[in-house]
Amino acid sequence: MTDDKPHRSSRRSFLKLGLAAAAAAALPFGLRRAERARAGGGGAPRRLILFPSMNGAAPEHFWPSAGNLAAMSLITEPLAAYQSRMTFLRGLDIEGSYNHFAVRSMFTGAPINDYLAPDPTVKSLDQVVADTFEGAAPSAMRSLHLGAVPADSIELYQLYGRSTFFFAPTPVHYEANPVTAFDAIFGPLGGGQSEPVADYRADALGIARAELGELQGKLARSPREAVKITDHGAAIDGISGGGAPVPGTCDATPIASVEALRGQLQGNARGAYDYSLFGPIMDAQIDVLARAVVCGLTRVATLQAGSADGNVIVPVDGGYPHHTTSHGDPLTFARVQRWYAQKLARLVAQLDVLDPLDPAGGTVLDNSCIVWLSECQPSHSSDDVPAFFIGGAGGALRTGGLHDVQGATNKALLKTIARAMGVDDGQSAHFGGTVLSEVLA
Amino acid sequence: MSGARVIGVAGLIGLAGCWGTISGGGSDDGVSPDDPRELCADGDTDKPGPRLLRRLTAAELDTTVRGALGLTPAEWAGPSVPADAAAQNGFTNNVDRLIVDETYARGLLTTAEQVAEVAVGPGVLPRVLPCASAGGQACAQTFLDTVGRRLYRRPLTDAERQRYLDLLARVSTTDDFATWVRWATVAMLQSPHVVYRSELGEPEGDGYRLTGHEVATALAFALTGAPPDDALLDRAAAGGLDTPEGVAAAARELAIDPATGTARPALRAVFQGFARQWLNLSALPNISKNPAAFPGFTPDVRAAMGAETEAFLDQIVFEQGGGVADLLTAPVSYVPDVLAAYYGWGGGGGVAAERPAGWGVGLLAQGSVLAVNAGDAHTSPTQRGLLVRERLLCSDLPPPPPVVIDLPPPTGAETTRERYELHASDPSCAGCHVQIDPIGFTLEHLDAGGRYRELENGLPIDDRGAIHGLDEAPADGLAVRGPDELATALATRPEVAECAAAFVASYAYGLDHHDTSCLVTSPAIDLAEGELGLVDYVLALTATPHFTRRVD
Repeated sequence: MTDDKPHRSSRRSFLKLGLAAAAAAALPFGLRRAERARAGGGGAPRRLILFPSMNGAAPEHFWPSAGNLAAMSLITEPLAAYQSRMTFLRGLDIEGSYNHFAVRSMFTGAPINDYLAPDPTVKSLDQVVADTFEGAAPSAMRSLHLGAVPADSIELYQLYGRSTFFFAPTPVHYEANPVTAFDAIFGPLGGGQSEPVADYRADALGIARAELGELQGKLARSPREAVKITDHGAAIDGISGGGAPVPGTCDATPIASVEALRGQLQGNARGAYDYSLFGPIMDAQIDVLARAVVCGLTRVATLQAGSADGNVIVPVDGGYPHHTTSHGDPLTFARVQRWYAQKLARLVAQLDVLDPLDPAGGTVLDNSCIVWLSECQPSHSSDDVPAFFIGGAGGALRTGGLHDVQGATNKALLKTIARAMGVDDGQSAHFGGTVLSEVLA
Repeated sequence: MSGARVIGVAGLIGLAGCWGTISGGGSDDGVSPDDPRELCADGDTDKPGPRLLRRLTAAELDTTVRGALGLTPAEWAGPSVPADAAAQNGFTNNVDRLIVDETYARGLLTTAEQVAEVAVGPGVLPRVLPCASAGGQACAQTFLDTVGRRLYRRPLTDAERQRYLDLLARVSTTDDFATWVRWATVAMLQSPHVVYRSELGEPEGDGYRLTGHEVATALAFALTGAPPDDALLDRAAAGGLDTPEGVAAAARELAIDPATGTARPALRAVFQGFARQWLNLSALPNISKNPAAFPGFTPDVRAAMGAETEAFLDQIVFEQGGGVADLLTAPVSYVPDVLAAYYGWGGGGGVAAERPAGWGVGLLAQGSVLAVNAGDAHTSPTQRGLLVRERLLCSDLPPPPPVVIDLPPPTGAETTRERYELHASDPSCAGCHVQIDPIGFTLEHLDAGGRYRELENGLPIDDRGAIHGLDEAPADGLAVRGPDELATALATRPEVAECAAAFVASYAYGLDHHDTSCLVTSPAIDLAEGELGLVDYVLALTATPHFTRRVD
């Protein structure tokens, strides 16, 4: 789910105590967090949120009229209040891929020929941007990855080629249970909270490290197993280091939508894949994500609702199976996709608040870029897929228009956003060299 | 090997590319994380496989912690690790998909700290470690000898023990003994010797022999889903698992209740978990049907379908000692009341009921299987055919091409078969779909809700079909008609039992099913020839060379 750096008990301590001043003082080089964040982004503290929209949409119900953008479309109308801060990109193709298996291409830019093709060997946009943020101004949580029924069953978790969108470059884990997500991010952890905890934790990890070293010595002739041990050691190293403290602006109080699910989902990983809870889970995950992003706990987040050609029941009317409905009546499917836009509006509304990290007084939404992108259309074509973004990334992106980018590909979009987020071109070389200059400010 | 015939799942029903019609398949420029290891490419049979480190699944981690500390669900809810990633064959225990990356490591650390806090609680610590109130090095040794041994599934080495005693020395300068127990527990749950099931062995000849404790671990997880208990660890320590006879005796004791002569509940549960993934039934709890077409398909009915299949498997496999052919052809069902009413059969109560004529027999006629492999309003001969091809015949089909032609939408004036026959008439579809759809056509009298229908849209149903690609079958496939003939035809084919054998071994060994056929050659043939039922086949897996020996 997450890629946070510090151990959670220390985060929790900060959350409980709300020691904003202490958190700031703890940062190296004497820079306050907001200053460092802006430094990393070249201005306002930017955020990136990726919101894949599975199964596409009928063009006539998705694209607003170029002559009357404010009217939006059947699907996007729930976002009408934010039209001036949206940019539609019509004519975008997913390069090197087609059909639902393009889920692995859309944010990586890697060509994927079919469901069984090997995974990309490059990082997806979220991880590229997280690398840059990490290098310039680490957040307490490097990136946050949540799901809402991200597979048709927990036993289909990360089913090869169908339910993985984000890569580092191996598939990124996602948390499907909002109660688990909340507790891991904001909730009580148990465990020792006394001062020597970190030392004892380091001792415990040190014992594991020593045993890994011994085990590695027995695997010289079993290279495949040796790699597991090497990676395991690297993982322990990754969680051993300290990280940036949690900003004091983070609210650790319960979230109503999460608490409403606690009775059903606490300690119940399988329950988070219950179709009947899709709507409440979506709301709760959005609320968790919004809080973490607003307070600066993380500046990179993704939300995967459903899976490629998955059939989660979308609670519109009596409920429609998502993929099956995509191949039926376009109007009915548009109403289904509108539901997702309504949920996105719930997220956007929570981001449209003063940014606690931005002394210039901007909103989190203005400092963010939220990307809605489909892997294919209902026809399975991955050409001219539905695409828009909301938020100008702190002024780095132009908003308020509909651009015909016919012939451009998702790689150009990825490159454009990477640049807007301050990513060095060398770190995003796999997105190619083309940008959508019409949307770069 | 004991049979004349050599099986090999990888080449058994080689439909890759569907005879060249579509140039699909995976890309050549890389490998998938769970691509087969090609263990069977050399044609050898009954061979030992590679040395393995098998990261515990979430369920295995759960049973490991509970087994070591005796924690109840009320005391500890379970691990906080990510879900287990599904392999290409749908199994979630593939040895190459289960790794420790940073997210998993963090979840494991969180889990460990949660467990440790519970373990040192006032209601638990005295139970887990009665000497804890006195503390000291002797008590620490006791902890290592009990909880430590259960978690490591073997006695700790001197070097390992010393690290924990060093930790005790550090902790003792400022904190109490319970603090050491807490952090020793955290450390143990990070240990690679706990996190991975070791199948590395010790050098012997030109290969390796698994240690007694490794064999104990493999036996316990394969047959009970849990780690070895103290008695089995004692047995391993005493050399009781160093001989084939010793392994066989231990396997039987773990699997079979001597009082009844039938399988213990733990083995039944393990098999149900296998069957759920083998038959693609994990999505059953979420499926729904168009309420206009299937007004009776309620959540209760859906749940009862799951119960029906579990009862069917339990009866045929465990109570009757059946094999694959029995699974395919048993003419009975065990339907709860709600399902009996939905089917319109009468009866119910979960007792054996003979299936009415036309409703099919065996696994493929189960309501759960039919409903999962169908749309919400209409059947899917393609999904049903794929199930048979991939899960019963081990066919390697290429993925669908990027551009798929949509079938004509249903008008209510034709049969489903008529719509799907577009697949056969379009050359871009026919190459593969001719291998798939004709199998599904034989099930067309069984609707998307799992019930018999005489007509569809008032039209007669054509349930003639064919199975292509079988050994010594006609070029245009083995003709079959209706669900009974399909089941019978499949039941008589050795390829089917051998395929099932490879999948069972895949689940037991954590390897892709393409890689297991050469590890289980003899028992698979015995299963195919009806000399073994499925329970005995599972037990036979513990007698293969792979179970106790490995090679590089």
